[in-house]
Amino acid sequence: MKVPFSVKKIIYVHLVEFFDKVGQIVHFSGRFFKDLFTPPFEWQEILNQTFTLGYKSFPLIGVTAFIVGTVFTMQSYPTMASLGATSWIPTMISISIVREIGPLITALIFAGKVGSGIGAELGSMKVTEQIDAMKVSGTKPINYLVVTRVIATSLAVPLLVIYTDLISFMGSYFALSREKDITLSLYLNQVLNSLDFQDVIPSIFKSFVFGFAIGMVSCYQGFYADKGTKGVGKAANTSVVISSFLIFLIDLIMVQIVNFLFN
Amino acid sequence: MKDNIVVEAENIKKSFGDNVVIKDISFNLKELEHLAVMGRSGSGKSVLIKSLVGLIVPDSGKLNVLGENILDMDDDDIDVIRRQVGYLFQGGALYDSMTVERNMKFPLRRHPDKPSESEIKDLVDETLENVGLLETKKKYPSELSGGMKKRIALARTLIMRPKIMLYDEPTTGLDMITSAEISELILKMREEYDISSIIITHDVSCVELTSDRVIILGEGTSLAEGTFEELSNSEDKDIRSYFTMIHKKK
Ligand SMILES: Nc1ncnc2c1ncn2[C@@H]1O[C@H](COP(=O)(O)OP(=O)(O)OP(=O)(O)O)[C@@H](O)[C@H]1O
Ligand SMILES: [Mg+2]
Repeated sequence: MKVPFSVKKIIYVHLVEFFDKVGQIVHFSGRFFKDLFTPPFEWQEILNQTFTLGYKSFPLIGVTAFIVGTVFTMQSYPTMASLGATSWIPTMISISIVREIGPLITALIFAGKVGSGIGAELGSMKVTEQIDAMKVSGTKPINYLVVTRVIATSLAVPLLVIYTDLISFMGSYFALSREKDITLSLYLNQVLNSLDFQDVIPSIFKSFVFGFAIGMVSCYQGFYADKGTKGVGKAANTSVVISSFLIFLIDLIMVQIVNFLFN
Repeated sequence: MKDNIVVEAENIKKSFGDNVVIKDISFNLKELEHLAVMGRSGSGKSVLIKSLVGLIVPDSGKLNVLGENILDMDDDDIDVIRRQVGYLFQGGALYDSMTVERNMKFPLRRHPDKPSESEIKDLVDETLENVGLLETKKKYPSELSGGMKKRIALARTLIMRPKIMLYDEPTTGLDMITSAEISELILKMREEYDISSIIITHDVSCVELTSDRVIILGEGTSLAEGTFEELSNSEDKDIRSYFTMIHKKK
């Protein structure tokens, strides 16, 4: 029997499509940087967007962060106990959350919640010709719609990551304090003491890049959405898929850079 | 009507992939003239006026708007032209996240020589008054009826005091009385603000009421051109049918 498709071919086609998209998004970023420095500057809208986008994901990210901190601690406790190393748990938690888990879950949830929202919002503005209406009135839609949102996501993700980290620490303390007699102040002391500059700064920088990528991808998808209601759905969906994949890709690249710079 | 030409299109062509939408069209618009463009759905009417404001770039041809060749302009220069040309979208294209008032203020606040906030407020009030919808100022587009949306969209473009207006089906989807009101409004705007207009429409009474000259598009080109009287009494029954059959069906 002849197989009508080959796995190799499918992977190839998907990869080519993906990198083609990424290329177009990079090109779109060029327009973003051009308009970033051209007036009028939409301060009001930037503040407004940063607040609403950050605020939107606050509860969901909080709950997830707490659960991740708790589960992570509960799972590592038996192993650490068998090694007699439970006093190392706060250190381990703090480093893995700050370096990796915090930025990653924050960015993924943000992409799912806010990225899809931006894709759908700009997509429907595109479909109902609102973006064209901005263009023909001589105002710059990239300035008003894209620059503001990308700045907002780039600021919101790092801020949310700090919040995620803190809530995860609390989740972890919650799990740890049930197994072990440890005061909150001792725990926090240990957690914060084990962190230094090379953990925190790269993590914040990485989060900033995640935020930028999510904003850029979602705005691009919305801005170039196909006509019709289907176009809106597709813009929202593709925003999440591409952002999420890019988050892992950026993570992989950033770890190399950080290791190169600091080790 | 004066003899100055404000829009001049020569041998415009446009295809999307294999779909040849406009084969060869030339026309012009004189100052203060009202030109109606008729044609069946899909004949490329919207594509044609979108190319006048650079939303769609023709494959070839010449295009002068307000004396400027817009085909080899960069974005900033074309924005200067765009601020003098009003475009009423087929669906209104109101910004649905903003109130009527903010919709109106949006382009003004971003104008290079923007008026002061109090002048902007007066302009908004005056223009809304003109379309008879001052009381909707604080409403969102979703709270308005189709006819109201069209009128607000019209007000939003008129507030820029355009020299040229492009109307894409201003009366489609509205009842006969509201349609007639919009047609009256189009005439009134010319009196008040000296506007030249291109009006795309299927609405025969709107053509009769508002237009000085009519062009019929079909098969990617201009099938006929003349006054409403000439074309509606044309020898050619296909041309006549644009004025009768469509009329009777409605
Ligand atoms: N951006 C675009 N990409 C691809 N094809 C397009 C695009 N815009 C228009 N077309 C095609 O051009 C043709 C003409 O479209 P246009 O919107 O100008 O028609 P119309 O005369 O305005 O019709 P209607 O009266 O229904 O509004 C259609 O076949 C449409 O599919
Ligand atoms: Mg049309």
